[in-house]
Amino acid sequence: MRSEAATRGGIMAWLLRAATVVSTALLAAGMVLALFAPRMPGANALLTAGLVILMITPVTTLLTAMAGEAAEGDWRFVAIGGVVIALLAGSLVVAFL
Amino acid sequence: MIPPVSGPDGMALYAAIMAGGALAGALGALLGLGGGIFLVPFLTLALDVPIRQALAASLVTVIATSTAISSGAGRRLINERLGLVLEIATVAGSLVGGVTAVAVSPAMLHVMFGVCMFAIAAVLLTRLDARNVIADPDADPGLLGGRFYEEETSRVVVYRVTRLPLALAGSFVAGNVSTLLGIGGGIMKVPLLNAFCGVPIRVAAATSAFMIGVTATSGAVIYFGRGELVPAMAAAAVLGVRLGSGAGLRFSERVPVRRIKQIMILVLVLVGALMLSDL
Repeated sequence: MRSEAATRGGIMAWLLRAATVVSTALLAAGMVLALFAPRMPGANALLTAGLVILMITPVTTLLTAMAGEAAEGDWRFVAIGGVVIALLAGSLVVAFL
Repeated sequence: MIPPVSGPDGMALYAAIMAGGALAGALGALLGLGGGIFLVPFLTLALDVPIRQALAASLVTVIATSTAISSGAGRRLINERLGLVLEIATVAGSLVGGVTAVAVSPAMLHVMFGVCMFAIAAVLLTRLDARNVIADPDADPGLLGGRFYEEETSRVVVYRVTRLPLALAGSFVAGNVSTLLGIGGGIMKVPLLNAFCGVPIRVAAATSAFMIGVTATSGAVIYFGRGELVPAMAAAAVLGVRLGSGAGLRFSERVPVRRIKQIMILVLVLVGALMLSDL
């Protein structure tokens, strides 16, 4: 049980670090282009890609936490995580209507 | 109006945004806050950024701070189960933010928020030395409690979550306020969990960081979808947060719990005064 939790924590940390490195690299590259080579295309695309990766990261950690609870067979917390995701999805639907 | 990125005006503006992001990230990493409570007034009052663009950039930096804390040393302190349970109340609170916006005037909201900050600071002040831990590592933490290695005592300690209804109510209010003020809500959750609900301050900060990232995501995506997220401005703030949160995390490992609480009290009083003065 404890080693499963440690593995899950390790996976979550790896995902977060990977997302952090990739999004930071994209944002930094986009800012350098925008600041020092404003006529070159691609700055906005790099910045947007970096921001999108950043925005989906917390949902990934939520899903990882739910997967960990599922692996431990505690479906109550999987259901709770499902409710959170449903509420998040609902808020987006309401916002875009 | 945001000037173009290139050119002296743009350079100075984005350097200032990055500096603001660095300060917000450092404080956020130290206290488990998103930093939006500092960044929004800085962008709108000091840099004259339109409020909706400031809120959008702020929410993205909240996510950046959250991921920085959750992927660093604070990861082992996150109580995922408690975070999941409280996140339901937080998201529900943010969903009814529109109702609150109609029912309560902005001035009244600021008064309520400011008074709340002072009240929590007062309670935290009386509990500076309360550690909320059980020294016996074999003690039962209950369904939502946990155990962790405490640096101060160099031993594994256990904690139990108490007054869950209060934690849920506080998270609901935090979610509600976060929608209205463009903040993550950690400024309410961390002291509440520590002062009233038996959660050690470092665990409260790490768990709050885990939650505020999820909460801020829905708001950030909405602003992004509406075209109110200015990529260059958000990127400058996020890059600043990356620098600041790294420094904050390194500093937090060396700071005693009592000092963290003192800094939190100072921040609560400053934010409360800011809210009450902005009437």
